[in-house]
Amino acid sequence: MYTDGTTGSLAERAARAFAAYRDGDAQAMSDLVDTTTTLLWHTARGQGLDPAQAEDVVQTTWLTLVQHAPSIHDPQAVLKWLLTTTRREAWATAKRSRREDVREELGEDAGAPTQSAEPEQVLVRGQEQVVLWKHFSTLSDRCQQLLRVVAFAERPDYAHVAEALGMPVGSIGPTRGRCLAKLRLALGADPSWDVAS
Amino acid sequence: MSEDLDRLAAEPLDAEDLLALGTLRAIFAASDPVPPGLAERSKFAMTVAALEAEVAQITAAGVEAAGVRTTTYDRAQTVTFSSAHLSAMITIELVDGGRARISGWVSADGPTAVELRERSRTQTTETDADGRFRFAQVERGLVHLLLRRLDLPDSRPVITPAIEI
Repeated sequence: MYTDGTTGSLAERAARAFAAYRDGDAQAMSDLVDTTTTLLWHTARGQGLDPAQAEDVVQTTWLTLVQHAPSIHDPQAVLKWLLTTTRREAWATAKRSRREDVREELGEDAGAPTQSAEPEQVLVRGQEQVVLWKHFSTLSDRCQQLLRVVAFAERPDYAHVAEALGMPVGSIGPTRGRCLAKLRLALGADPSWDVAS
Repeated sequence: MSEDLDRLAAEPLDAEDLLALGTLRAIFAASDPVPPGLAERSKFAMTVAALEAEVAQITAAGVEAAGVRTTTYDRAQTVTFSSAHLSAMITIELVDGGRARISGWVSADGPTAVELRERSRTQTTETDADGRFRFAQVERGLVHLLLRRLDLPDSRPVITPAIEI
């Protein structure tokens, strides 16, 4: 997963696998699924879906890719396409299920789902994780969604992933972006975030 | 505060960002792991869709104790499956070296191409006049069988769910 870019970014690996698949290499699609499913899972879960819904959304995204493969002209865009499709599908699913939950409450179903799904039980081990989670939890849902997925991407993918999740960061190079900057400010102000670097 | 935020936001990522993201990743990886098998299930759904295949139902699966336990193989597993157009039965025998042998029989009226889809390769054979087929060297792992009627080229292929070898 996270290799600090030494094996090439996820976007590049995804592009190569997709190009090979389009050239008739069925195995390449299998590699693409192995490479990218983790990101898609966290994209779907971050949008407020329960695990069963998130599984459905991830599978639907892959099925949609099979159907739309001929229309994706630029293999370089396939990771972004996958993330965008997952996010949209998850958004629609969350909205549907929320509407079912609050059907009797008028006006409640007009907006997008806003709650960010936390794992059923957050396991934090050690001081670093405790402090990190404390500050991460105070970020906006949008920032939590973004950073959760970015955390599973590789460094060169940051801008790519952020853009696909609807939060473009700097156009030149992977700048930190506001969500990560907010987290860094909070961590910097907390003496218990003791980074021995 | 806001100026600090703008300035921080415009900077490139540094080691502390990577530490923070790494810590976040560790929390989510432990708290909300990707369900095992999600990638495999996705691939299967994609294969079915790409081939417009009919998915066979597994109707019976059982482990039979081999009559004599030898070093050559220690158990045989029989799996029966059926679709609207055919049914088939396979027997899996484990052999030395972590491999397996698959022999099977297809009920179709005509010759059938049988594809064995292993994780990293695909083997192909055809049924004989009695509907029998055989794969002598199969890697352990999840496999699918894909059956196509050779005499009915327009018919939908039939794919089995994943079978653990």
